[in-house]
Amino acid sequence: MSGPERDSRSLSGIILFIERIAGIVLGLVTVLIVISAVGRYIFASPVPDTFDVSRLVLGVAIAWGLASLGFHGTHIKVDLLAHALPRGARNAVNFFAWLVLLGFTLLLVWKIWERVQAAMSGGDATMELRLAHWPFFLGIWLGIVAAVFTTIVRLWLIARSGRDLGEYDGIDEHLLEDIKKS
Amino acid sequence: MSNEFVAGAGFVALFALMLLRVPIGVAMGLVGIFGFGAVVGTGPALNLLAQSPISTITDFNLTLIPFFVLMGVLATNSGMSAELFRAGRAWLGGLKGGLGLASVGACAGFAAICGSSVATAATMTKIAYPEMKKAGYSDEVSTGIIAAGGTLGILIPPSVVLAVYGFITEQDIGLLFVAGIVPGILAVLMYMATVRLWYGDSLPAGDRFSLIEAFRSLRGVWAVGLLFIAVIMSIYFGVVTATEAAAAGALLTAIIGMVRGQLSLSRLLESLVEALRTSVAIYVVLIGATLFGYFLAITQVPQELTQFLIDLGAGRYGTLLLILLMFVIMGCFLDAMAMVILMVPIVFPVITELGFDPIWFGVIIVMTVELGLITPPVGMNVFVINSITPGVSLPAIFRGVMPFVAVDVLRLLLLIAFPAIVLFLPSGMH
Repeated sequence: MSGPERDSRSLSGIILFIERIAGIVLGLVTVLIVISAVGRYIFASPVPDTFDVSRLVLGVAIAWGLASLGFHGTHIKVDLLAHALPRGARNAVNFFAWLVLLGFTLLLVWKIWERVQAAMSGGDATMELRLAHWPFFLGIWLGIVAAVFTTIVRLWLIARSGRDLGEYDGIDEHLLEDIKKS
Repeated sequence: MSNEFVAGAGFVALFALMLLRVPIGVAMGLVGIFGFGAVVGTGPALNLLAQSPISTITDFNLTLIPFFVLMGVLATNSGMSAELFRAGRAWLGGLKGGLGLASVGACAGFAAICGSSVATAATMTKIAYPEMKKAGYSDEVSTGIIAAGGTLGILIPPSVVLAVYGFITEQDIGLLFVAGIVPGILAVLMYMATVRLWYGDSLPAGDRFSLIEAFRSLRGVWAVGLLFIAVIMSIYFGVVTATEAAAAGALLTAIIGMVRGQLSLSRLLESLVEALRTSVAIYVVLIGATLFGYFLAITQVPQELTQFLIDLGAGRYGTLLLILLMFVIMGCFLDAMAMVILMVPIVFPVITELGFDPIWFGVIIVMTVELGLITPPVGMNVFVINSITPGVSLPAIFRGVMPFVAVDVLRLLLLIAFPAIVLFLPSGMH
């Protein structure tokens, strides 16, 4: 196994771990909203702060999901031209595209850090339990920092071994593999 | 720099970046920031990045997107599609072309719990294609039927694309879902009529089932009925909000899958990850769209476009057809979801100015972008079917789907001529 391939595999493992945590968070928020709805309609007693906590926690999960997309390359994008190009030109296009993504993600890191600081000093809090917003915003910011890291790794993989970007098609590639196997 | 120049340069940059494979959301976001900055200054433009992305990913109204995506992924991974096809075959399989009819019916049933056309097409290819092939259907016909049936995924509620349209245009998502029911049923009937009338007696009949066996087959589809009632009926009768219905739908799908032994814990975890990945990709486009919205507002592109189209003097329906034509052309290159997020904010003011109903337009737009899923050169459903059945060529699938494209256009014209078909159900909503 080549160096880039080995590094890519170990990073895939880390990304999968992050995705699983974020996925579990998505599942927990789903359950929280249902419990709150049942509490409100049946017992006239919703779970406090469901509105704020679920949206903020899900925001953190989405931000960490950005790291996954930066690595796998499965953003929604136009693949038509890239697919028509020879391998070398496609690599150049992929490199340019991910360089632009890196620039955008760096801008997010810079400006969202300011938002985190503003939330720290402004004392923003949730409506009912008065939970401070800033830890959630910090979680979001850390997810975007992770996305910078994974985007750089993908750029390196494109440059070193000409790895292509994954395609977004609204369906997981594992499902397609399962379907083919069965 | 004049606003017109900034707007023109912005759109050129946007399309150039998109062609160069820059993620669509990122291209929209960058053009949004720098376009806005060109008019009001770099500082205020960059400050948008401090507020807007966080607001988008923590918007409670948008949380229904991951929930509906999760519901669809769980339904796909729980094998519910097989039972739907079995029931369809038991009721219709004995007729000539019965397996084709059963496939359309199963696609419709699956679409009622899964808001993704691609997932519907992929899942039904696994179930229905081998059966149709065994029965003597040509590859062209069988894959054409499945590709077309798959498009029902984004029309029959719950539809993720309709939900996103509702968010962008600030329309009630519950109303939009209810508005999609009758056009969805109409689509199913017209697809079935196409199978019967277009291919006529050339398609073989499958095995005949007794009435008792047919009723027995319904035992397998109770879960789909329960989920549809839980989600759509609860929204229709105002029992819960769309977000709560989406969360309940996802949770119920998981519980049903686990109780029936079709969803292991590891499969559940995989489904959560898969739903997260798909949802994040949609969120990135939404982040970009929000930033792009500032650019549109400051350069007044929608207002200029509205004035331009009205000055053309093509009339209400002429203008509408121009807009739909633009969507069809862009559908050749863009993903359905991205197209709705990118284009709807630009053309929506035109639609309201012309006096069209926004709920009706949502259904019309979804039906229009559906066409892009089965027409060349992108045709996502066709590509997915081809990836599962590599022995069937892309041109063959495209040929097989053409009669259904014609029927889709006919249905679109019908709903444009008679908006009441779309609107009578939501108008009676509680």
